[in-house]
Amino acid sequence: MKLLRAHIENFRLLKDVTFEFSTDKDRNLTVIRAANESGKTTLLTALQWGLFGDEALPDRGRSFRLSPIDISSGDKVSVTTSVEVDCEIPTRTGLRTYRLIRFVTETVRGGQWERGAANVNLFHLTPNGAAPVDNPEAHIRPHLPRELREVFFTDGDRALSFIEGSKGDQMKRVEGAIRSLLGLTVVEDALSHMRKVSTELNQKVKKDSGNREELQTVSDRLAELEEQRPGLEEQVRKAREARLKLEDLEEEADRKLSDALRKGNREELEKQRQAAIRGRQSAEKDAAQAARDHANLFRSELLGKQLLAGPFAKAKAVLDGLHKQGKIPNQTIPVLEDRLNQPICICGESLDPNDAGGQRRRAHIQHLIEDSRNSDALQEKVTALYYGAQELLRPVEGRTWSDEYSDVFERRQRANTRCREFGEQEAAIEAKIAALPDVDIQQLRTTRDHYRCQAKDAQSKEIRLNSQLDAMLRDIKLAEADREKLLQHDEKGMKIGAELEVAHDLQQVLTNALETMKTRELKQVSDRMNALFLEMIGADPAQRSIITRAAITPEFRIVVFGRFDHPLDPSQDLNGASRRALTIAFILALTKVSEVEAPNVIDTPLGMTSGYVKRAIVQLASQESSQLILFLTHDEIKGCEDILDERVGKICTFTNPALYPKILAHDPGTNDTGIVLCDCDHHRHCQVCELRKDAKPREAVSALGA
Amino acid sequence: MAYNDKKILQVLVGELGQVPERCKGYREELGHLLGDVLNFEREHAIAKSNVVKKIADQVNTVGMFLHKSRTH
Repeated sequence: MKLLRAHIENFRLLKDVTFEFSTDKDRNLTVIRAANESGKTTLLTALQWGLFGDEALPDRGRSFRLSPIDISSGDKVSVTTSVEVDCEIPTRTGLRTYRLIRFVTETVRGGQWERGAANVNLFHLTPNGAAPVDNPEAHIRPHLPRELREVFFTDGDRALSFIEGSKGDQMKRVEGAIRSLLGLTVVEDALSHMRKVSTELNQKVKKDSGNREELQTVSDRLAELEEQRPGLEEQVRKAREARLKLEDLEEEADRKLSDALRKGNREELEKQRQAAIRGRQSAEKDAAQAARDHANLFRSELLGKQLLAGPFAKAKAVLDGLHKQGKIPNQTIPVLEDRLNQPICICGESLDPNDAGGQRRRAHIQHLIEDSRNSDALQEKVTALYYGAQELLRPVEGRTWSDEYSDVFERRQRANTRCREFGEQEAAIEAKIAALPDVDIQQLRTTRDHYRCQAKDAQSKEIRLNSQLDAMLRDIKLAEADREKLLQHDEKGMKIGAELEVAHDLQQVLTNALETMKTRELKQVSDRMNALFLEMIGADPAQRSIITRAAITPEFRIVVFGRFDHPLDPSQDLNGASRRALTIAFILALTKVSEVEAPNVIDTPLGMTSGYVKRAIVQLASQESSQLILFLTHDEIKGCEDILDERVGKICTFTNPALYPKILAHDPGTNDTGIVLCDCDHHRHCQVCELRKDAKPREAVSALGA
Repeated sequence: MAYNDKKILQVLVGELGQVPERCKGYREELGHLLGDVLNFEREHAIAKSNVVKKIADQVNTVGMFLHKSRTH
């Protein structure tokens, strides 16, 4: 299918626009160039509403007004919104052109609105005119299955739904897109109907078996097995879904637990806080002791000795001189008194008191004692000083006061630093504790383990059910063989046997084809997606690229691998540009492998990309698509002009007059908010679409907000 | 159709080649039957019908072909 033309009326900003899409094989790219707030997303929504109805609207259209927002007068106004899309559809008899028109009336009063039921008309366009087609929805749906809406029409963000969200949802979306585009549904429907044919044939065998008890038993057995089969298959499917859902929940719980643990375990943090408090208290003690030692140092003898070293040296010299002279110590009196206790004087004469000479000498000594006593009190003091200050006057040796001071000062500094560090640590931990969500780590762990346990149980159940299904299929096969033998007994039986054989063969063909499409074709999509993705992001697995490959698993999940085949989570481990490249690569690969001619309509696909990746996406997308329609901002186009020159078949520019004067260069001369369309391309601009070169994004955004 | 008939037919024809030739022309008949079944399904998607009955009738025709080929 290819889109040819669209005409949109009264769809929000798009009040009356008509434009064509390129159908040229070599220039398959159509570009709608528009600045932000100029109707790109509105156009994407309008096209989808036109083709798919309300389900394509945000919130399924419940709170989404279609009519232009500036129609809000106090009077009741009825506005008809319509989207008309011409498309070309391949049929067995060749290409056919259809016009699909969807329209609806909204009654607007003030800010309130009410919408009636939408109408859909389909016309087959021929050179002779437009012939209405009955039952348009049923006619158009096979060409535009709902599952493919996100493949055909997407924006850079929504495309990410194939790799974001819960695992189960991702797989459902990917599987839905693959099934629709590869046409698995039609084969599955055919298989299901063929099974019903077989069941009916078995009923016929049973009915015609007459009194042949053995044949009746086998038919009964087969009927019973075939009756149970869909139920068991459904159970297997549900068990798989339940397992995937539980694995999702387990993964989610595990992520929450990891997040909480990364933010901090309250218990663990409390322990750390206590340790910090203890550290701080110990450091405070040390600091206090160091402060005391510091103060004591100023009262120390050492300081005195060092400060008075000069005068002390002089004093010591004087005292030593006196000592040498024998003036100190003042020992005359004790020596003389001691003599008086002796019988002989130091000169050898007698000191006997009974002897006259002795008495005379003793009187002389007594006289000398009295003289000494009276002579010099000062000398006594000097003597005391001499002996008492020996330690004080000795010059300082070894550690000086400065050394002591440095030690104490450093010790005090260290203690203060530790105090501050522990204090800061404590404050930081307290801040972490305060910022902690009220999460119970233990509870999270229990929840995770609970889901893990349930997921394991679900897996066991799935395995058990799969085994039961395998056993059932074996039983069916055996019973069918028995029935075939029994039917060979008569002409009637052989006829039914032949029919059963045909039905069986056809079922086998359909079953094998499904398997082939799910494996071989899926692998082709996977390989193609991988090649496109790596090329888009410029990764060379042979070199040292971080991303080495991407793949689609048999369970329909898109996965990415890094070095050493380490699995990466596309939603978390890839940057924005790579995520976009991956989803666009998937969409393109699926379209290519299925060989379906379908339009790829992508709104702002190049957001978050630049340079090589941006150019590669545009280049590859246009090469791989049969019809590529891109809605691009001026910035997105920058750097890709040469590719557009080569690939663009149709291009037009959407302009929102409301962007004057902040973004638009010229006054559009109207207050209308409807989008204005011009034919300008990426090399040209006109009075309508020219942008101000000095437009400041912030001002522009605030102007729009106002 | 959103999907490409050619692609599906390629796969189905490939699988058809694996079916034993139960009588002369059997595979060809089965191929026609397969084409009819896909057509019925396509029509059924646009306008509902008793598709099982339609398929059963065609199966009966091919079944008769097979039976007659064996007995003659």
